[in-house]
Amino acid sequence: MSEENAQPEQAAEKTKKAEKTVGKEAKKEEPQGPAYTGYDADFFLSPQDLLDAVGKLDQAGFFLEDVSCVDMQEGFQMVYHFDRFDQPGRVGIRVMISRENPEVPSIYDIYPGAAWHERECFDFFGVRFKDHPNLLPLLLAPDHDGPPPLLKEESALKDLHQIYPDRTHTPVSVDSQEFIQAITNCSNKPGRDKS
Amino acid sequence: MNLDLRLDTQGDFYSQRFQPTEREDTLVLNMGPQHPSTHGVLRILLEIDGEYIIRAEPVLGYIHRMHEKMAEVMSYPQYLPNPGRTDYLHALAWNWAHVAAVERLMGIEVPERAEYIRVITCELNRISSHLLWWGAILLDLGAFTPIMYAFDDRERIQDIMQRNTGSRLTYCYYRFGGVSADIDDKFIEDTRAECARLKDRAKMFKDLVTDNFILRKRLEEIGEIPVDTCRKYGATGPVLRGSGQAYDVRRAEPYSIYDRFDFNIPVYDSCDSMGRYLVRMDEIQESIKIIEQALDTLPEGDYILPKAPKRPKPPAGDVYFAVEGARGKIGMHLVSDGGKSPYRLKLRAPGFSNLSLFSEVAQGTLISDAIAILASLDLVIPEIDR
Amino acid sequence: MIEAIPTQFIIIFVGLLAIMAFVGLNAVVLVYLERKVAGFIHRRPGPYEVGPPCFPHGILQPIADGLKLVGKQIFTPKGADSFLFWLAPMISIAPAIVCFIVIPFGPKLQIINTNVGLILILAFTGINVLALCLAGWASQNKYGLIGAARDISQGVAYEIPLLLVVLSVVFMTGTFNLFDIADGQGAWPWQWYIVYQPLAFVLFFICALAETNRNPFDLPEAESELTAGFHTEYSGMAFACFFLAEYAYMVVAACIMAILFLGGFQGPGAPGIWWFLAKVYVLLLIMIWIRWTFPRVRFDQLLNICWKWLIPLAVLNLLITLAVIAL
Repeated sequence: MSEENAQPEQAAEKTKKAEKTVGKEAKKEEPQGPAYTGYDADFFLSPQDLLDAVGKLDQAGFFLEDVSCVDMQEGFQMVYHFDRFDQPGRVGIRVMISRENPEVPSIYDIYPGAAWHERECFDFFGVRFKDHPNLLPLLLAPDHDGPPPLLKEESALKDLHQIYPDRTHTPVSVDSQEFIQAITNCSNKPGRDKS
Repeated sequence: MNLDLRLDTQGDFYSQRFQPTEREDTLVLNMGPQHPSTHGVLRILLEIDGEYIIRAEPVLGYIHRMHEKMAEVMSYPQYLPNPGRTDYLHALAWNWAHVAAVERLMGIEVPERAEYIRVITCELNRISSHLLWWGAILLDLGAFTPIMYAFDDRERIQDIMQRNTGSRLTYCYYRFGGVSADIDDKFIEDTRAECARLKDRAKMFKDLVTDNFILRKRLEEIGEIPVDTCRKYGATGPVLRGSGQAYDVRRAEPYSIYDRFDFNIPVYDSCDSMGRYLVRMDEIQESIKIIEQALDTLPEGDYILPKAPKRPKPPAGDVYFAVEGARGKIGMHLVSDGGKSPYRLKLRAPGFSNLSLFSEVAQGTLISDAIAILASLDLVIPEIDR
Repeated sequence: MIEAIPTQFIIIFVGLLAIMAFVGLNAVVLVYLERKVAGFIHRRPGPYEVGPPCFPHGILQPIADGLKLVGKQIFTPKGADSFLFWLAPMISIAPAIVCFIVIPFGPKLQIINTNVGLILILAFTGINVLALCLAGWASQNKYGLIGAARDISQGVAYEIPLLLVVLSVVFMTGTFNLFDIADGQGAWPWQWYIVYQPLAFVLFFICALAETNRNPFDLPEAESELTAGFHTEYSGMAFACFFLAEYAYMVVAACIMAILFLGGFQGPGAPGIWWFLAKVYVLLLIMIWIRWTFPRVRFDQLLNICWKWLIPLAVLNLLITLAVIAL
């Protein structure tokens, strides 16, 4: 999944995805929705859009649940979880960064609570956060040497298609209608109850 | 005497990076990891001016056990006991989050009776956790007696739980598709008796402790956490409800059968330590209400799905499951590649987020107040360090 | 040769030995009492198992505690001022013993009957503040330092209302002689000074709790905040000295309260040491009861209680006393 061709394909992807979700709900065999995945909305974003998106979530009144990372063949998948107090709906923000230069902007300025979560990712994966106030080891000993513990061996790495077989991994744009819609009324979507 | 208490030149990695800056008349105090009030092995670096705290920075990791790595090398059933070892006081909530995340990914429907048993035991566990917290906060405030009364009740709950879970503290009772053993009439009888007893005790707790003048002076208007700070730091649970926001995962994202019960979410909008204190005291009563309703409507049936997989292999995918623990929102982010162990399991510890706002709240308070604030956050360090 | 030594010295020497025995014995009893009362309040049996079955209810527990403390290694922390460090426990315990010299235990049981008995006690108990300050300062420990700072401000602040309260009793009786004060009261409770000075008694009791660093005013050693405050670095017998001193000062405070307000050795029937000890132990039991019931106050609250409430009330009490005497 390269980020360069994200923008041109945007419109096409959007319609495709819309069709797909409709198709899924109709088929009912692989159900979507928060009762089945825990997510009300889930997006891949490109790293340069991250701060913009998080800023929008902040304005919409979301709180930060956690920041975590998954080691994959394509690189590190940073996962940010947000939820809301008044109108629950979990939004997952995923950002792919390269293994060679694992760097992502810190969201500390928007959500100060992210500081520790980011330090934890730095500990476990060696991901660096740009503009983080004190990127020191948090849970691991400061004199820990050796590779970060949660890095996987080359042979054990899986790619995005193996983990998310029926999803698109193309980054969406922060300004797209889809994203705005999702964060404003994500919990009004059907599928919260299993029945 | 060479009393240079200001500069800690021989300190370790963290204290060397926590030196007093502009001001000349401050002192750096290293509180913990062995300190009576840091509840285990939390360490807090404080820069103090007299007894006023200028800066506070928690240092974590003294009981870090890398549960997330263990998940990746163990199979799903092997990992079952692990989540309960993180938050040992509300072990069943963590156990539940893990089991339910796998069930959600595999689409396992848990039998009715098992859901009821889960609710009853999890709420009993929540009560015992809150009782221990109640004793501990008073211990931190210098009153030694209440913890003995709390243990009196907690002991009874543990006796009840021991009969069917087989353990007293780090429970591992839930299985994929149900629970490991059925409850019997003795359990139901004892639980009812204990609920009645706890309702009775609530009055004593209130008269002896909650209404105490000194306690109120120590907790009221101390450690005010506005709801927006909670949002920015992701604080949940009683900390958030003590700040006036009625957010409870059992209501907000109803899991299991919580939508069938009639219970209140205690909310206090004073935002201070007393608010958090009262929320937890009320939650004990609300949990009793849930348990009694669950016991009244307990259906017959299987306690575990007969065809429940012994060695589950969930399909590839990515799920998130949130559970309301005694300390807040417990989250399990499970990424599976279809193998017999998770590809990645991220544990969201509520105490981690709750503690992260401490350095902001502690600024400008007295050391005694900081202790009260720490206690009112209800920290369990193994859960924070995981 | 014997004749060359004044009898006064012999009396003081024998008296001091007796007092040391009394203080030691009292500490043993108080440790046991404190633990048993704490157990009772906690709804547990308390110490129960020490010793062979012929000593039931763990009555050997204080002996075992004492042996443990004696057997422990004592050491000076790195960087501490060892002279002051070891001086502090001695300064703490010595004045406590001297205080007992002037206390009239019974109508005929007093080592020295002096006109300045009350002043002597107040002066010597003040030294304890210095001891705790030195202990905290010399142990090169930040918790100790904070504990010492707390102790000084607490000790100095609470000495003021204490003295004002004592003064009102002294104005009433016209003497500093403890024997005369006790003797001036009648046998029956309505003849005791607590009836004339109820406010003074309450104020004195609160100040006594604060001066002896008992809960809810145990700020200098607040174990949940400062680990152990001024005695963080002390072990073995050095710690035991502070421990003994704390109990000794508690007994002194209870003795003064018994003499000033509760008639001392006076009592229905025959006056005697039994009445005195009974009153002292009732007061001690109340102190223990308070310790196991209340949370600790905060430091600024502690000083606020003193400066905003106790001192004005003590002054008021003194003025009323003076007015009544003048009339």
